[in-house]
Amino acid sequence: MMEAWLAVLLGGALGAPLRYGLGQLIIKRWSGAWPLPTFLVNVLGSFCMGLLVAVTAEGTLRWFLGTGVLGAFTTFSTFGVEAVTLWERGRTGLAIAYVLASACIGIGAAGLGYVWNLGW
Amino acid sequence: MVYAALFVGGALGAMLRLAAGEILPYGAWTTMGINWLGCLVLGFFLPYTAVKGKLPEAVRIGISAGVLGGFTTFSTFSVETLAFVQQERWWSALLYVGGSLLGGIALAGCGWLAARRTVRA
Repeated sequence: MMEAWLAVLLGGALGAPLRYGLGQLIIKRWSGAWPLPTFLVNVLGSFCMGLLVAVTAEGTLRWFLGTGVLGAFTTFSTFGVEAVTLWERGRTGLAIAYVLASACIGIGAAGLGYVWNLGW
Repeated sequence: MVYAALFVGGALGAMLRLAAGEILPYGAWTTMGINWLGCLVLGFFLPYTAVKGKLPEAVRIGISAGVLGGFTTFSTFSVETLAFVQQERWWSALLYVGGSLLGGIALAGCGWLAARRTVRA
């Protein structure tokens, strides 16, 4: 169990700065109202998590990459607050589209990652 | 400085999520509770600290993008939904997706409103 804690600690320490850094890169090239950084991070992270679930069962690597890196790389709280922010600014349609697209494409990406590994 | 704060915050957030899974059973419904709590706290934290700007920016980002970002998770949400679908537990899948999305957003909104009231008072 000690291993799990250490793996998650290290993974989380990597995942969160990675999300932030990637977000900063995207924001330099993107000025639209759509919260593209969070959207891309969540879709990419979901895809990788789908892959990971198919590849490894329980174990330290799964704790590190799954619960740690990918768990911290993706985020639900920012997603929720962004939806509220859009709605508050009167962009209700965009807020609904953002929520639905994140959920559908995120879950779809996880499925794709999972199936991909199984050899399609 | 920001990245150091994110490094520490992300580690802390992910470990808190692990701890929640140790106390409660691991699984989708615990993830939903984690995401709900994270949405509520972040919904409050961002507008509150934006107005009452006492925190250094690195600390603010370390808590919001680090601790709360690392605590909540979208990838696990996606994979857990997939698992429900795979098991053909359609009602669980629907309840999980609907509950996570609507509950998370509603709670983020509650945090937001609470922050605005606190700031005004």
